[in-house]
Amino acid sequence: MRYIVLVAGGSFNPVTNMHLRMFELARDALIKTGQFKVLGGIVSPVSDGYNKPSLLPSKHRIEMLKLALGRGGCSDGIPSSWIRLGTWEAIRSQWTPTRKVLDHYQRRIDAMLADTDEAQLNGPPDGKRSRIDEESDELAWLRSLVAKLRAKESQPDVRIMLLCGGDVLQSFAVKGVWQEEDMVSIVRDYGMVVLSRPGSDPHRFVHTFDLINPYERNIRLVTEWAVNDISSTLIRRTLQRNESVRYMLPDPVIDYIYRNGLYGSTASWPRLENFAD
Amino acid sequence: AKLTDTVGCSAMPVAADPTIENVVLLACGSYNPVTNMHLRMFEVARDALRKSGRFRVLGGIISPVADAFGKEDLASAEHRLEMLRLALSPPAVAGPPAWIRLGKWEATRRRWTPTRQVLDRYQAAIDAELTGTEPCSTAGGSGGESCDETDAECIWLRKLVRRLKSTAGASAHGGDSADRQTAPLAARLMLLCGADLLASFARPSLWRTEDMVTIARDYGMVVLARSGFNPQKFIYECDAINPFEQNLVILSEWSCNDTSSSQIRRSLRRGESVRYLLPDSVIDYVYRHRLYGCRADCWHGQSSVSSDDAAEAAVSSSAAAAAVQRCSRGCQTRMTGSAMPAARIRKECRACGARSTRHVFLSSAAVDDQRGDAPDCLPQQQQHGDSRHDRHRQQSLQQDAASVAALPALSGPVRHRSHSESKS
Repeated sequence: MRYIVLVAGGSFNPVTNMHLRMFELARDALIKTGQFKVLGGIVSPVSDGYNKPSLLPSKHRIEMLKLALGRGGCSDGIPSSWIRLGTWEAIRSQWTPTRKVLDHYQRRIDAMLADTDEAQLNGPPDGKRSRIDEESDELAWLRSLVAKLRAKESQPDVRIMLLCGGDVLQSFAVKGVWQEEDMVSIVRDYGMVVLSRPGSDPHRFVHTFDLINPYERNIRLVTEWAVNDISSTLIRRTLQRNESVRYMLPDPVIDYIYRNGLYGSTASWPRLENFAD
Repeated sequence: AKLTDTVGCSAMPVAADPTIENVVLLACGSYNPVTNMHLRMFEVARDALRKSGRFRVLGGIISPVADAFGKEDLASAEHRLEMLRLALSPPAVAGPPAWIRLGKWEATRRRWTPTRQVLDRYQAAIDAELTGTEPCSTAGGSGGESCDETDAECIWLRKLVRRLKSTAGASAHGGDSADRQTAPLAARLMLLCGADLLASFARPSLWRTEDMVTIARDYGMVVLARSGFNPQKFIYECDAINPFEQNLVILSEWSCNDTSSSQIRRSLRRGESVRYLLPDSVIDYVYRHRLYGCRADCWHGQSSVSSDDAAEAAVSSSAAAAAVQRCSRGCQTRMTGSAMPAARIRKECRACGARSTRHVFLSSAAVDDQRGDAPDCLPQQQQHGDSRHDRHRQQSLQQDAASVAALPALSGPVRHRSHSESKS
């Protein structure tokens, strides 16, 4: 039995219900195979060094993710028990290739399993609150999961798996986006769960793409039959037009956007004309 | 969302009409359960109507159908209303109160109410306030229902109209009111619906022609189009409503979310996650009340559940959906305890007290029969007898058979019984 921690990268600019749904669908799909148990999920937003024009500072994107995952403190919703925010990638000034993000988390997990995890031995740096503290949150959580697991199994097999959409898979074929050795490492050493909508043909892509085809059994293709097509681009466009984005992303995230006037939105929830009570 | 012109050019150019129409959006349906898509429809419609410059949206009403509708897996009105109430709560953080109200009148009636009558009822409250008369003296609320003095939505509608009046009155006093040609104050309900409802106009058994005409002519509709259905073409071909195409507002390219209530019910049955498809508070309610055949172990919302246990529960619940424990002495009653591998759970027969480690796997349809739950897709009981449901049932049976065949070996003796074998 393999224990999986799903890691999803991306801009999360802003986080939407579609992003969150992706985790739920991937988890159900893995469990249904009977070969996996899903230990948890990590959302790893990209750093500001990614240099995309409309990318909000990571401070905002991180805060919105916290609200979406129910840990911002002001949410009425139920926190997600199994998905956590990973800030290691976001706080670095340079952009980090996806493969390195996966390496980072896998290394930490391996260290926890082998009892060589530094933070566990030495404790977090004391005194001043630093960015390292934020990182410790998700690692502390991973540590507790691994510890629980080791109480039941002596040599548990815990692997990171990349969670992404069909567009990311298809981007493998675009020159210059991925290093070849990274792609191979991802499919060979980690594995992927790819969420595609009906009508796209990820099977054909895996079939025809020589580089990854040898590892096709590590690439789980999941069809999202109930299409949940809420992209961040659509959200930003809708906000810009002063139209409602309600029910496409969690209410606390919308509230945060309005309060901070992000994405060109007005500063408050759209009000009805003053006829309504 | 894009506001699509209805077929043909408007005979009455919108620009020449200075009056902005005041509307209240009304949506009917099962809401079984309410989903983010239902709620999103209102938001999209409001934005689009406002943008068109023709309308002012005063508010919205959701009117779920009564239990008497007779649909097979319809949760009780009490549950559906409560889920809607949770869904329509204003955002937890400081924000304006909800602009969509929950109309309970239709749901609590003993008989099914045609949509047109629901519109009439709420319109009666509006008209009464507009004309300054009591609601009992206007048409509407058929069947001898007592008037709507206590109906919260009617009261709210009247309040809206009063405010409308006072605002209109205030602006009229700004100029020389004697010379001013103001159009009479008006407000009406407009039916908000999906393309499937519009398409259902084509089925003679479902709608009275007179009702369709009234809806199109006197109320108007806002139709959220979905891929695969061309509403303009339908309006062009439908004689009853074609004369009133001005009143039929089509919204295209809006759908970002294709999740229907039936898909959600299916996922719940299968122990799959429905998170982020409907509000958390509604999901929580569904699991607390064990609605729609959901499996108790599958709501991981509470952070006290470790993901490991929840994952294990999900495996046993979804993959072993057909597991039913039978007493080793052959009693027909089900064993107490949940569907987990025998090595973990002690199980006792309610009838004779025997302990059993045996498992019997039946197809999920047979299990549902045992439990007395009606499977979702018995075609002869469907409202519309759609053959799609036949195929879905075939598929789900095949999938269950496949998933049972793929189960890992369990500790303890396992007896595998095929679906076709007699149950004795």
